[in-house]
Amino acid sequence: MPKDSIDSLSRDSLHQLQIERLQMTLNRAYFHVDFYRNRMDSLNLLPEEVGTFEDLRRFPFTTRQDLTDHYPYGLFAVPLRSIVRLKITTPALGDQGRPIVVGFTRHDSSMWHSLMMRLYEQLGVTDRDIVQVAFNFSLFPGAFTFNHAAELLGATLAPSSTISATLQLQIMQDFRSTVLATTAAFALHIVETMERLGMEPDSLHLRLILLGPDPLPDTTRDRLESAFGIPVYGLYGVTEMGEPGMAGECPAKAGLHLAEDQFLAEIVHPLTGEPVPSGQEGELVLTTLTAEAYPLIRYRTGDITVLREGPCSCGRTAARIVPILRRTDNRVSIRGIPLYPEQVEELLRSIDPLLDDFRLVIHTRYGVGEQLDILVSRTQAADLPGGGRAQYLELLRATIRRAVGLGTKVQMVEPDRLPREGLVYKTVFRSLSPPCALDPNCR
Amino acid sequence: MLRVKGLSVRYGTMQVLRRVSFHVGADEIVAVIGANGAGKSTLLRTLSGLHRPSEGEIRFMNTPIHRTAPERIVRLGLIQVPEARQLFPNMTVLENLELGGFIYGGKHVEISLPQIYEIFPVLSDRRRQKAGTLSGGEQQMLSIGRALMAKPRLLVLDEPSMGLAPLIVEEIYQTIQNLHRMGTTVLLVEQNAMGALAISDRAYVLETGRVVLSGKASDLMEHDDVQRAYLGRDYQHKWER
Amino acid sequence: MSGCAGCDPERNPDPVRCGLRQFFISRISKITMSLHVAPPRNWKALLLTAAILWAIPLAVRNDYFLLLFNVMALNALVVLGLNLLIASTGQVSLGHAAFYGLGAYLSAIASTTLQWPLPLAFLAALLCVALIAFLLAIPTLRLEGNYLVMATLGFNIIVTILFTQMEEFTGGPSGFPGIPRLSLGPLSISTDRHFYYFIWTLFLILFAFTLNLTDSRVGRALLAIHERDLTSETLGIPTYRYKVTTFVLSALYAALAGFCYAHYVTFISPKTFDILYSVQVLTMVVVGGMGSIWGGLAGTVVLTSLPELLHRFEDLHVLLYGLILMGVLIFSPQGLVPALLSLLQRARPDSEAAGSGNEALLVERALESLRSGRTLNLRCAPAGTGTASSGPEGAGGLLDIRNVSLGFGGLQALNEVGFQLNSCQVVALIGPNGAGKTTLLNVISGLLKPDMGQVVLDGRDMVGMPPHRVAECGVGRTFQAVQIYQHFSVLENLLLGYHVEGGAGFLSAGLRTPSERREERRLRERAMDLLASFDLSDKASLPVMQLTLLEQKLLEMARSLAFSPRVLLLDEPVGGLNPKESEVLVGYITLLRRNGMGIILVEHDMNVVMRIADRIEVLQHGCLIASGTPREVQQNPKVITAYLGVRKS
Repeated sequence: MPKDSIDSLSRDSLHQLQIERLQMTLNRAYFHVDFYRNRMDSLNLLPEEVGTFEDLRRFPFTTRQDLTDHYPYGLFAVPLRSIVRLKITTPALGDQGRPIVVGFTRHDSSMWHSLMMRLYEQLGVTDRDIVQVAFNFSLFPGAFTFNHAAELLGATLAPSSTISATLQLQIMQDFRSTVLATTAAFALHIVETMERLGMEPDSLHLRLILLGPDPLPDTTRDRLESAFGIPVYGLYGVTEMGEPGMAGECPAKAGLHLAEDQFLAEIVHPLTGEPVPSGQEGELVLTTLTAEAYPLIRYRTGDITVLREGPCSCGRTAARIVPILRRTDNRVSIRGIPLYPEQVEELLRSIDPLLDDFRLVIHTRYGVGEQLDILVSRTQAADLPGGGRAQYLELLRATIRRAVGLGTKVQMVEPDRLPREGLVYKTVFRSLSPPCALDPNCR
Repeated sequence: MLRVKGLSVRYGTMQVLRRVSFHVGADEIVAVIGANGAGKSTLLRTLSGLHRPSEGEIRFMNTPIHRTAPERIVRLGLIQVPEARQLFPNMTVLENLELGGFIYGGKHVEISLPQIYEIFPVLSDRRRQKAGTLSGGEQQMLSIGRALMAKPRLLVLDEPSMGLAPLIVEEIYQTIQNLHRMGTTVLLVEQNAMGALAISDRAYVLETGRVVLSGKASDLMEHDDVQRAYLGRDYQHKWER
Repeated sequence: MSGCAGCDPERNPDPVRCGLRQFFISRISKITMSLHVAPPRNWKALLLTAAILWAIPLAVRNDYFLLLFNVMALNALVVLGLNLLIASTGQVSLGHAAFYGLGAYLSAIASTTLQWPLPLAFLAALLCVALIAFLLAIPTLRLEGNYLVMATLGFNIIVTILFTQMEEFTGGPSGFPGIPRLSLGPLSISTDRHFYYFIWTLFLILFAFTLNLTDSRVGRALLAIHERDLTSETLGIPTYRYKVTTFVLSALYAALAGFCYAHYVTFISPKTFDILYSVQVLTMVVVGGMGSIWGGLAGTVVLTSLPELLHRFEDLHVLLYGLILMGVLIFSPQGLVPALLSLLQRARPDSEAAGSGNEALLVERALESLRSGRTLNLRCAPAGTGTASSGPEGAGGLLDIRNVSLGFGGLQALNEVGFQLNSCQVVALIGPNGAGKTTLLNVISGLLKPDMGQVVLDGRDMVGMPPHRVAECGVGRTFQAVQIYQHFSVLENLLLGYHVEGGAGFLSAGLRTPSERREERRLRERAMDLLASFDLSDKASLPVMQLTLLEQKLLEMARSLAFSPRVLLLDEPVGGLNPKESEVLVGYITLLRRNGMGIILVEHDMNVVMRIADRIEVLQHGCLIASGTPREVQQNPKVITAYLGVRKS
């Protein structure tokens, strides 16, 4: 049952709160953010011309490109001295690229922590729980929020860092962790490790698992729930905002409840930008309502979902989004690390301009991307950068690793041996997980 | 209890309020602070029905009141304590108070007077004195007392600290807090930001007719932007230290 | 210009009717234009009126009607004077019957009892009335409120009593008989017909004179005084002097009419000059249209002839008269002629209506031209006078405010306030509500007198000078609520700013002497130049109500620059403007500073202040609590406390 009064706010009161905060955000964006000021001026739009949610549709969308284009200060609404934290949410790839750096004021920071706390409470995590947070903190900028929120909740935080699954399991046993927060890939890896070590799930004291930041495919959830015998929940965050906790599941598992008091959600058609009828799928467009340092107005997340505004059986009134169905762009995720095939292409071609074609082969297990192989093909016989073939492949591999943080296998093949690309640009997926019938743990 | 949405008000060609939205829930003290010229007085005039907004709506107890006559609004329970008191200086304290309860009739006045005297003992002492002869602080209390006589559901105070010495202001604020504890919902409009924030639950900051900041009063007390709303931007480049 | 669908014979089925309609509409619109804003001298309508008037005696056989018209003419003269008074001071006189009577009696006494020749009697009567009016006006016009009504009412009663009581001189209630007829040498006016031509010619001459007067620089000033007294003072208009002059002039009109009356009917009695007559003429003014010269004539015609027309209804005629009067006053309270005016204006196609078009686009263009470095051709302080921005204090700045204190009752509004202003400098005056900022501006511009202290401009202390003198010294001012005159067009508003640059008085204005016309032309040229600097040239003939707020503010600013001030006081210039419009205004202020102007700015929008102020002075409760650069002031703890209060830990 919801504890926070926010959770039981009537839709009317929620809309009032949203309108107030929306107008405040527009005012601040107009007066303090150069990017929005210029944009509004060029459209002859003043903040007071947006009186209702419908009026907001006159406002153009903000895209990921806008964020990279206006690095570093174009989207900041406060001076640096009011910022307490800066996060690189999307590193620049290659030497010419521009990263996305997001800032947080003290207020923003505590807001995100309280959102995460809300998610914990929604799932029944209390101060008696022991939360084990297992993320690669250097690659996932939002991971610390799990820590901070758990501390604020009063839940004891088990020692955690980027350590092996075996050690994680040992700590889990010794300190009797009750909640595990990690990526889907790592959770699967822990399951494998458990099976390899012959460990029984009963020897652990876990009572729920929280997975992020990527969307949680059903196959993954089923696998993990059957392996651990406890519920597994997903949450949602926008990569570019660098924080998880924007939406999360409740025990009813009927979708992810959005923090509607902090964000205004719209579902639009990915091509036309027009709002879709209620209940239909479309791209999620978000407007921050209280973000001080880095307000975003009508940001296209690139995630396709459906918004459900009806009441949830858990009693909370906040609208829900269904787990993300797919993306509008070509972004893929490997072990929780986002990747754009276009960026990989740029990197590859910056090393080897004579490169013909390439493919990304993503091996997935239970729906989660685990391993990336890159196949390149080159018809020109001219000199390979790096010298010989082995050095060339090593050069590519090292560049990718340095830029993205992923270890990959790079192979050179004949052009006609390149697998045919699927829906995602120059990418194919190969499933590693055994078919259900052969898996003793699959129900 | 009070919901203001997208309120825009103009005087002739001058736009004074630009899409202001805020709300006051039951049993809250909410403050609206801002420098002079921010539009606070216009906001209050519009709330009491003395001025009609060009856009937006005001709902009090779920009834739209932005096109209602002022006396109806008073009957609904939205009572204002005006800026600079605005008492009837040549009438006694008692007469002023009686006028406050005028719309509810003599019986109500009889019952309510002792309650007011309990809250403001000094008014009881001076009940036969002409209102114009009271000190500033006493006048303010009389003004509040008069408003209380009208059975307010929402008490709106327009710059109660204006023109009063700091010590008296303390007293007035104490009184407001007491009233709140006794169950009155309060909307406080002030220029004196810190004082108002100290006794409020939530607050909105108005700057040239717009809401630029809102939130819990305790948060706002530490916030840089409150000062910026009064004294302007104190930086030119974002990277300044 | 016509309401016709173009008088094209092929398209229009009835060209004759169309042509006639066009003819009348153009005539009438000419008349209406003369009553509205800034017409050229409208002699065509006058000629038409004259022609009609000359034709009437030819058409009328019965001399009784001529008598009626003669009475009408006399009334029209009195009404003319009264209307002039109301149009300019806005104050109403209920005592013009007294001046009418005084003109009649004094001339009668002089010519009959004292046996003076007629011209001498005439002059004597006029001089006496002028003196009496002068003595009456001086004390009463200094007072606030409608004290003139009370004073003139009382005056009328006293005069009537005097007429009745001073039997040896006036003949008492039985009247004064035997007044000689009007004659100049051999010519004598003995018949109604002769008198008709005489009086109406006299009236038309004075009518033309009055029309000229209202159309001139002085006339504009008079109308301005009516609309906004204090603002006119700050523009250099000597309001008190003009009010007195106008009162005396209006009394003279009435006295002239009295003179003509006395020597026409040759017998006068006190009853004719009692308050009832004053009320009657006032009613004619009101019905015709208060403040409208043509309206006065219309009202006179209507109300003088109405009783005659209604006579046949015998007993009912008083009732009908009252009903008609009430009807007019209820349905067109502004008067018949202005009502007709607005009706015709609505019928006219919007040929001149400003297509405000895209306001935002205009603001954009203004910003563009400001950014591309436009210049203002102003004869402000020559560049280089005084030191730039942060001049050393005590070096004798342009404007030196020393130790100014002012108290109202028990409240000390200003307490030993002092600072300096140099040319090429913007000093912003800020402070919480009630700090005394506008009060200080009022002290500087002479609208308020401080108890103590000096306001020194160029070594001369201006304390004690009336506002129009302060304006002449070189201090311009704008106001919080834009003080532009609603009854004038854009150009005329600006011309009011140029009032001090002209010298033509009442007489030359009425006669429209060549030098007056030259001066008027010169002023108009300069006004158009100034309008061009502010991009308002194409709106010159529009009524000011059609301007946007930004344009109105720019107009007010332009007007304050008309007499080349060296100090400009701006009271909340960007209040009510959106951010882009604010930018335009700020651009102009910056331009003015570059031209050498010293500017004191009172403003609430802190971001604007921080951007353009060279120095900021902070007032609280009448005292100066801080002074310095914007950055310094922003960080000054006293200032922060003054605005926000004390932070409670």
